[in-house]
Amino acid sequence: MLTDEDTKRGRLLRQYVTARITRMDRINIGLFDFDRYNTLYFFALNADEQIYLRYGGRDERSATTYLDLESLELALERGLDLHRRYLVGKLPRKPVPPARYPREIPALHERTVQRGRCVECHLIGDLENVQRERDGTLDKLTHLYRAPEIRRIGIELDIPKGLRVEQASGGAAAAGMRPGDEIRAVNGVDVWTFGDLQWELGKLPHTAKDLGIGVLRDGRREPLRVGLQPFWWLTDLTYRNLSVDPRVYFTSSALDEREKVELGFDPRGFASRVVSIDPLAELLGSHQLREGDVIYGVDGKFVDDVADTAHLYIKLRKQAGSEVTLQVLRGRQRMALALKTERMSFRK
Amino acid sequence: MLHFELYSIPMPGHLAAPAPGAPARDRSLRLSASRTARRCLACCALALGLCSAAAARASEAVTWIESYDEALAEARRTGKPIFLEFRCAP
Repeated sequence: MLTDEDTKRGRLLRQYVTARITRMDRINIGLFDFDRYNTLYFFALNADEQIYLRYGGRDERSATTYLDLESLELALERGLDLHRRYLVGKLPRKPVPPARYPREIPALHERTVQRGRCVECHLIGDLENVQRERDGTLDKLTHLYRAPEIRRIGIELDIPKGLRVEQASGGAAAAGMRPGDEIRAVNGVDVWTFGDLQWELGKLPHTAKDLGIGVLRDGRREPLRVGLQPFWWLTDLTYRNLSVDPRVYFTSSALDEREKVELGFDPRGFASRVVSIDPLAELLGSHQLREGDVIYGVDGKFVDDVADTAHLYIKLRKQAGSEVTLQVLRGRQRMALALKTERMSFRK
Repeated sequence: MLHFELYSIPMPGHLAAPAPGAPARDRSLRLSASRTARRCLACCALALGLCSAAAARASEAVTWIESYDEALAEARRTGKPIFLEFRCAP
């Protein structure tokens, strides 16, 4: 479908050299850096390895939320336009980031290249963090949360139209963003696609209090200053960082505020209901939780800035191999249950 | 162009137009045979035309190179930009 030559898309694609990479072994991941938990991700660039734009990106709703054939055509057109400008010297060269290859990440090399296995994108994401963990440099709140969701800052796009704003709320609306605005720049850097926008947002430090967004409105550029709320960078981790330790062998789902209050828990807390138990839990003697249990505390902690469920709290705040005490409500009975976390077997 | 080629094809002698004064029956048969042959030839020519059009289009079809280095070399050779796709599975 992507390459049907009788379509506008096909005609645009024929003006490119098209390449499809399914193995990352020899790819410069320093140049082609992106959120590795995307099923598809595209770059438009030239023979000098100057990247014109990115196309891709996802959110918690779906892997394909921002993949759309109409917006892809817009991106292809824009890429050709940028190429023409580059060829006549009207597009300044950007500095090329230092080269980096999968073989330079020992944890990744051991698990893939050395075993003759495919270096898949998500494995780069997972095993980069494993390596950071080994090196003692893993900062979970920084390294796990790297592709912010624009809806958290109040931007809803008209997806087929690229970066046209469909609806603005929160910080974006307060800054003056309006439906119909075309986002054109983030902190002074041109952005042409959702992929570009998400990439630029991902480069902001989590401590950022605001960001500059340039929009095109009625043919004129308007600079907007969008305020960022604390934790504006939070995303759902359930579809990414699957190898983040520790293993807890259960999953839980957050109670809503009303239910927390009814059960007598702090409404800001991470009280959550156990929804699944990994069969390994019994085998490894990890815990004796049951589906339906409500975990409302871990080692006497009930509230966390980031975690909204007990299993996320443990993943973010505890080390692999640690033993914790869970405060649990089972039926009407409150109890304390022990949980021994584990390290992924391949890291032992 | 296609039509020009079609109607320029010389007819074989035994299917050519009948000689003046030939019996009507024969003439009718000959005309019928001639018409059938022309139709056959038209079909062949049309098929040939379609094949050559398809071949021309195939040469312009979007082909995906599976090596980044080859894509770079091709971009240098042609002056085209590169559209590079990363995906998990082929």
